[in-house]
Amino acid sequence: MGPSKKNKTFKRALLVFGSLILLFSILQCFNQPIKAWPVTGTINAPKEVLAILKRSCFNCHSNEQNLKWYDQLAPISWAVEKDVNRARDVLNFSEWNNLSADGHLGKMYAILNMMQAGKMPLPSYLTLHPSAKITKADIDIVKNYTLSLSGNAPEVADTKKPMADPLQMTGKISDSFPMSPNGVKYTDEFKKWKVVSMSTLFDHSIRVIFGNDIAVNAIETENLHPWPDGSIIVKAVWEQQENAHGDIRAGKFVNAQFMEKNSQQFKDTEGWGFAKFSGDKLVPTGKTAGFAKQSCISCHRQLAESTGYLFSVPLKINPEYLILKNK
Amino acid sequence: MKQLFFLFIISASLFTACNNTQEKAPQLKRIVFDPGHLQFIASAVNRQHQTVSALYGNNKAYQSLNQQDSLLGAEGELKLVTWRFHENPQYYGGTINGELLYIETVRSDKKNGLSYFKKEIAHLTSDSQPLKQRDRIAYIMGYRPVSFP
Repeated sequence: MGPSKKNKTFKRALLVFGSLILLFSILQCFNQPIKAWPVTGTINAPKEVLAILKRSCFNCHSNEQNLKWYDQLAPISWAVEKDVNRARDVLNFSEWNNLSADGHLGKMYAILNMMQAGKMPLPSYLTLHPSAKITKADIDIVKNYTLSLSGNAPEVADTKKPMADPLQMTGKISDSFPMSPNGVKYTDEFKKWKVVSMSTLFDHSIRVIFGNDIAVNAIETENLHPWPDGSIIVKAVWEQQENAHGDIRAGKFVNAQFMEKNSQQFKDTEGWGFAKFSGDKLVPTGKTAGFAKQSCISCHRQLAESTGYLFSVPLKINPEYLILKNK
Repeated sequence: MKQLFFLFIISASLFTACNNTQEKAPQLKRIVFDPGHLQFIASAVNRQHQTVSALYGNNKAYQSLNQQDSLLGAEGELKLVTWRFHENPQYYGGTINGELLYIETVRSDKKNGLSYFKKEIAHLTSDSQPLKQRDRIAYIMGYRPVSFP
């Protein structure tokens, strides 16, 4: 290679490097800091729990970002901003005062489950922020605190309490049933559907999960990826009541949670339309059609992907012949 | 040649053994209980026995339980389906039903004579003494329908 050719290559490399620096500088002109939101009420928890949350979660899930210098440079800052905004919509430690005691407990269980499943902090975040990694000891601390929050004894049954109107069993259909903001409508029909599974939760609730024929067929044929359109799962939730036999029975009705599969209508939530109808008046949850993007799908997406985003699919634990035997 | 022959025999028997194992292993599935013409009435969880049950019945049985009647109406039918429960593997803090254990059926004929039948599915229970049929009928008749809005 002659000296003139060497010189040419050097000039070309310099030009490319200079262009990159220029482009990077121009990008910074469009770089804006993450929008600052006020801290209205930080989570109140023991200091060892708070230390873990601050170290591993607060950078995205709070209004108190402590970003590294490289997080603040475009184009990385754009991805960081998107992540922070989405994270704050789902869970915000700086607006914890908006939560009830039950809400606090529910969020702590969600945090614990995300940590245990290794879903949070996000693996991509940990690549650049290794100090945010959650250890087994951290999980134990969060678990002990979460369990301490849910230590209430179940309510004792009032056996004289009047029971439901028998007409409720027939599954009446009414036009006046409420509708969720995303278009999922309550129906009484589920009371006639098969029981898919039964569960309890830390909040001292007892639950029965019903499925329509499409959903039941999807479960029995393992057709869960994706669930067929038209599948509907309804989870009826009651408070727990303990009786003299030591049985936990269903007490006061709490809510009915619907998941309706329509891959076209609910594209933002993995094809599932979520709805919750609470109390005797079946008051629907959510103010906007997109409420489930913040409050429902984040957990279902991270923790229940293996069952098509549902938590209450029966365990794959019984011999196949039982499907036929009980028909 | 002799060594090759023995190698072939050993390989063939190993493959055969694998095939037999596959045939014998029960294929595990997700199952949903089909109650036929009966409808869901109530459920119960028993932490001591680690079981969860669903009670199904026809309309006559439902009426009897709803009115807290100790007698099952004529041609009434109840089915109590009991499962072992497990921690929900997808969500810490929750439980979910697992193995189907047994199905108990209570029927009344036209003269209101009651019959009881228990069908064991999985022999996983540790009950040392079989419970008396009369006690089981009384227990099942003690259920009350869940409340819906």
